[in-house]
Amino acid sequence: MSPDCLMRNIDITEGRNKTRAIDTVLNELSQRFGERLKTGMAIREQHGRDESFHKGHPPDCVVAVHSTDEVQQIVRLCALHKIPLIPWGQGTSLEGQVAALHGGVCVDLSEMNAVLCVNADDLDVVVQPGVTRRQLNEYLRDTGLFFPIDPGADASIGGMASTRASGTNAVRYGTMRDSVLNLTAVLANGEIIKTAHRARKSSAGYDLTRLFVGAEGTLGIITELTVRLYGRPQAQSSAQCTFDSIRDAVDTVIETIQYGIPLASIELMDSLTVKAINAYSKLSLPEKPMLIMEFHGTDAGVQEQAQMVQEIASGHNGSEFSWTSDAAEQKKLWRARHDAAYAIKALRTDGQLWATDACVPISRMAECIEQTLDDIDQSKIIAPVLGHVGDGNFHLCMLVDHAVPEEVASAQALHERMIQRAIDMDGTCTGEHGIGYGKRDFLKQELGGAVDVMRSIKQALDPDNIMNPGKIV
Amino acid sequence: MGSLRTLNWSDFKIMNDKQYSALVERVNSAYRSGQALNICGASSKTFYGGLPDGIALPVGENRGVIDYDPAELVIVARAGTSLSEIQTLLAAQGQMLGFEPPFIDQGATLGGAVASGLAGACRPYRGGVRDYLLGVKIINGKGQIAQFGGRVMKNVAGFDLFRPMAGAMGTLGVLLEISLRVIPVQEQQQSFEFNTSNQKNAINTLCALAKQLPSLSAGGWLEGKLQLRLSGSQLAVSRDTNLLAQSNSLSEIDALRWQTVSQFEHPFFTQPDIDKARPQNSICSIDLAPATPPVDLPGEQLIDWGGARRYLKTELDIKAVRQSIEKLGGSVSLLKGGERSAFFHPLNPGMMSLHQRLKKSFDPKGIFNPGRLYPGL
Repeated sequence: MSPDCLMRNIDITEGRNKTRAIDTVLNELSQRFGERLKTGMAIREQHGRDESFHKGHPPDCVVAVHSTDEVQQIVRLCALHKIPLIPWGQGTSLEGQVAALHGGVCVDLSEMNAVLCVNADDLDVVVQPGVTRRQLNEYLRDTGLFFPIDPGADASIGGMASTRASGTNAVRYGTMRDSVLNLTAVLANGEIIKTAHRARKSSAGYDLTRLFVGAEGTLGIITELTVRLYGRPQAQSSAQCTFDSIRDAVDTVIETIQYGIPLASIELMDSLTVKAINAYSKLSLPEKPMLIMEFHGTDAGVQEQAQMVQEIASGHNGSEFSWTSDAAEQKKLWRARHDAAYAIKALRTDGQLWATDACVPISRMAECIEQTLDDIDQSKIIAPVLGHVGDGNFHLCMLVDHAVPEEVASAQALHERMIQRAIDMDGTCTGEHGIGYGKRDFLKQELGGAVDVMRSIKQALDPDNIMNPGKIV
Repeated sequence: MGSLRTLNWSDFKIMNDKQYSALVERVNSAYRSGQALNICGASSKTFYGGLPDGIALPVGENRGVIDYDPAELVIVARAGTSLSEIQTLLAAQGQMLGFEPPFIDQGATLGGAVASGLAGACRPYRGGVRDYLLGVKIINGKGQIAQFGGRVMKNVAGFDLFRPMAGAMGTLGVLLEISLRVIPVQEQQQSFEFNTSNQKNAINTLCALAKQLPSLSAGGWLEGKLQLRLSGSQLAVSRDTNLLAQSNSLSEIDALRWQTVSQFEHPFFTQPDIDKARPQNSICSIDLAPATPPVDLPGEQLIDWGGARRYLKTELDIKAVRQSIEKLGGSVSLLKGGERSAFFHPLNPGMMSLHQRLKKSFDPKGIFNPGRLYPGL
């Protein structure tokens, strides 16, 4: 028998064993979960795909769970038969984190969506992972508190923790890394752990909370979390300002941050993004590089902050600075910013959105974006750039037609050059979207040997590689 | 507004990892022989945690700032650099370390500050060392150099393996380089106290003020006095001071209060008992959710971190203290008077097993600082 045939036979045998194992698991799950187990193709495909450009992979089944104990039962069953488990919240990830690359069981946590306990005086809340960020803020409306982390999508808190999400407010309130105080997770061996108490800082052992936040479900399935809340600011205002160049806008941001002006958000849009949101949200903003900012504080405080920023911006050729404390006007502006992805999609009807991100030290940001914009011009891809400029994090939103291989190749090359540029500038291949399976090669490129350490941790916690296999490491 | 304060610190930029070859060789040799290493910086915190064990591995010579660009608000320094050197460099540019590390005056190093995870009075309001950490370079237990994170503010590239270094007591690796976010120095800072005889009222007030006063940067209570610090722009501090003065009679206090508590040098920690006949007190550091009602245990108490930390001087057995505090969802470190092996709050078996697996991934033979965090780790 030739080596090829031998390999194929082994594959076939393994495949048969796997088939038997998944059948056994499906059978058991069906008995335990009845109609909460779904195996229809449409629902499997929907649960194997996120909002990214990356190809979806359907799991073998989807199980809607209602408790940590149920998750534990499923994990134990899958561990016994070495079947992969993929946690699912809202499916809004952006690097293929939910794709069932090796089949397996999708653990749908979206029905575990109870707000368990608001501790108003401690400024925290205990939630189940399926609670979405809008649902949580709606729940908190009468408490005077809010949960500030705002990725564009109405993501689940569990998913946001798993991908270490952030958003426009990160410059003031941090990211999920700072927000999660503790979490409960089911590990690959079925063990349930709680990483810390609700104490702000627990001096008991390693900071395991941080290890699970951003692990993309590869170390365990998060089934409960305590997250930090903030008092609603007494006053809120917004400002916008246009610039002749990206560099002027970025220099304004650098100086603003250096003065310690506590901005809640500071967002940069290139002229193409402004054009897109003008068309989509029916605005008439000047189509030039633009900063939009949000200030939180007291009435006097937000006014003082805005005046200081205006003064700084004018030193960097900023023009058409406008400031408002009118709630409706602010809502309109920020809604337009949050809808930017849809606005960008609408720039091209025959293309799909490939949104990617990178993060660089802020002093290199202008240079990195300018070089990327030049590169976009050369590549002929339509690709607006926008970003959370206060953190050095920016997004490249490429509009690409899947059906045209040359276009996909050109976008891929543009993407690779942008990531390489960011890494060369001491930055990272992702500041916000995560690794999933879309950026695994870039992770190696960026971290080298450190990926081996990550792999050894994955191996130590999940020796059979059943927890969301094929992601991160 | 002035012009951008940019400085060229490229002179500091180094190099390759060859400079660490001596340290790598020491670790390699320990890995081969299984010899435990006791990582020593300035040794300002040997009292903290389990008893040091093993052959000394001095790392204080690994010093120097690698990169600091004030416009970036990021500093990268080698782990043996003294905090005072860093503080001086930052202060010249109107910047500071946001987590107020203790023991600066005793020569404490940056590596020690990260390894111990100790933070000053601002902890609940501005975060601790882990919240400022952007990346580390380490030698693992096999003598390999690895870097996690870097110089950027946001990084979701893979597992977060640099934040767990904060508070790991050096048990996961030898810290070589550390990059940190820094903050602008606050324009104004003032500390006050006012009478609040009842501990319950003090906790309620501290929690309420955390939502009302944007400039609140420290809050505690001792012997009937609620003590606060406000930091921020002149406008913010004066507004918050006026707000406080409306319903309280404020007296200004020495800002040293905050440092002496975070260094455990406040008279609360150092004064001997008046009644010498009583047995030696133990001093516990208790971490709780800030609004937890007063801890009902015998002994004197000092509140810090806006209610999230309670220090207790008591004759009670540490096990009894821990049992009570566990019921409140907190944890207890034993600062003084008891077995050093029981310094940190014990972990349940599941968590200990997870700790051991993580430790083994970094340090397979358990050569780094054995017992400093927990026996067997």
